Amino acid sequence: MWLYEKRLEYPVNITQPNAKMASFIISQYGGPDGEMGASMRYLSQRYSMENRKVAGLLTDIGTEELAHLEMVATIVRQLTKGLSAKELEDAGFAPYYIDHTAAVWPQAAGGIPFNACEFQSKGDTITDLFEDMAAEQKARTTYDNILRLVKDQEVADPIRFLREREIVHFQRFGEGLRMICDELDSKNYYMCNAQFDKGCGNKGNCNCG
Amino acid sequence: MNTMTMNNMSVSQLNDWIGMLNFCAYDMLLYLDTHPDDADGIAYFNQCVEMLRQAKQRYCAMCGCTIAYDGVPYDTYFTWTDYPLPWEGGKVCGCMKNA
Repeated sequence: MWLYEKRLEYPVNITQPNAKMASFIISQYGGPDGEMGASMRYLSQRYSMENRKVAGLLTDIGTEELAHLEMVATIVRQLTKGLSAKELEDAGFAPYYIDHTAAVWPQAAGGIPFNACEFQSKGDTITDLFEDMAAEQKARTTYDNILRLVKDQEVADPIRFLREREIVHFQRFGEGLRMICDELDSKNYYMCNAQFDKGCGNKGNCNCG
Repeated sequence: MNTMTMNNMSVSQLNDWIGMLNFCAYDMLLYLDTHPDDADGIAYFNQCVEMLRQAKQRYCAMCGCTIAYDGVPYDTYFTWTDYPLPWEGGKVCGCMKNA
């Protein structure tokens, strides 16, 4: 279960609305490398992750991604709250406004709705951890792209925090992968799948090839 | 940061302090997931969590708790939904409004 804590992981306090910025930043809510995909990826992968330490890491990082999802939603909300229909239209926000008014809905910057096909839960330990590391880098690149366009420090500050967390998560997933490989046969990591083949993960004792 | 200092903090300062301690605790949580035998890391984590517990207790008394269960026992009125929500912005209770 989860228990809601009524606070943001890092403060967001934007005093100047800017719907144009919101239309880009919303990609980290429901876009291809956004926080919704990140949290659902890790929280889905963990059930079949037989290594308990790595399953725990997926749970803890997946939970932090939910907190990031809330931060991105807060940024989008504060950037659009109080603007008139005309102001939203002038900022290029009319297509979104027509369908969602000033609510928060998961879509990419280009308007494509959130889709579970943006992440995998492949059921192979090595495959999933490489996907997770790539996902953290893709999210980091997206935050870098956002930071090139954002001039308002009240917006850039929490975005920088989110960007930094992608780097820490990448590091932790790399350590998780190393822990997994230490349990496998170093001559052939790919001889078996540690979360599917019986006996896999006991170094040379694998009977699954 | 001792308890005396914490008791003199404004709501805004206490909020920032909780944010820092929470970051310390969560970052160390992820670190310890992959370094479970690092004794110095565990000691640092324990210290962060204890300071966070004290700071949240203080915040609870000033602003209402951030977790519904932490406010029990409630009196005759259920105050959980009375405070601002984190996405509202600002700098006082709940989400630091009007500091």
